[in-house]
Amino acid sequence: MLKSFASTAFSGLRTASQQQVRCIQVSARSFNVKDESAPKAKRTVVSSAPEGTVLKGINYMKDGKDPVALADDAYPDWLWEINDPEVRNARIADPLDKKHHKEARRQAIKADNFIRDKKT
Amino acid sequence: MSKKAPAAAASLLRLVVPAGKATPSPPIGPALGQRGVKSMDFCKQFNDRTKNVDVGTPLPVIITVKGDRTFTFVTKSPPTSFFLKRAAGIEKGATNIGKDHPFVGKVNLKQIYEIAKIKQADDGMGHLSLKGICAGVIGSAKSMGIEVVA
Repeated sequence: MLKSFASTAFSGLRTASQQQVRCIQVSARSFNVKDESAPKAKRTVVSSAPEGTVLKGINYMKDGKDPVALADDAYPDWLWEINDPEVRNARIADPLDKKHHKEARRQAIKADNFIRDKKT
Repeated sequence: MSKKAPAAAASLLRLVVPAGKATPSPPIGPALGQRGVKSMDFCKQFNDRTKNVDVGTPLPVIITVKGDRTFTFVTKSPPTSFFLKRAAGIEKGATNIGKDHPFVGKVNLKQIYEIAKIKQADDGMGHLSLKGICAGVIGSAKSMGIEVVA
């Protein structure tokens, strides 16, 4: 009885630390401190398809036409960051971001698999 | 009550069919025939449903064949690779990709956005944000050797 209690307490400790990490992530997101304090950076990316360019190859209906590009500002802000490797790397470096932990976990699995392969 | 598995089970069949053109024996005929469906019936219905689509556009179809050999089907938007090849103006994707191999085509973010908007209309995409779908399209482009520029 006592032994099983000790083991559950220990496993409880492990999960508590994991929960702790998750709690930090949630509270950071809900406060959104980063977004409010930093001034919105002016978008430096300029699209190679200026307003009015016909975006070829998109339409596949008989009675439709290829869409025309709108002004850069008409598109959502995230579109200009989505292909930016710096933004992605910043998220991976930030220990409060989910991406950071996913990447860390991925590397740990790779290292673990490498060790296992070595044995065989 | 119900007979054993084959009579009651509905089978799913996933095919890619060019819009307006159906019944070639190789892709559709045997696949449907095995499940007891007359391929001519399917082709007539499919061509009818896709009559507003440019002829020859590949369309994924999911056919549900019920135990009594009746069928229903759902048509989805063309494959992402189809859109990307047309947007980049190339016939085929890259044979090899990676840092030692040059890109075979170029596509800009506004085109990606429009492709994602079309994809968003599909049934299976209801839980994804447009940003997530864009990220998926960019991933497809990269795996085809198509460069995504602003």
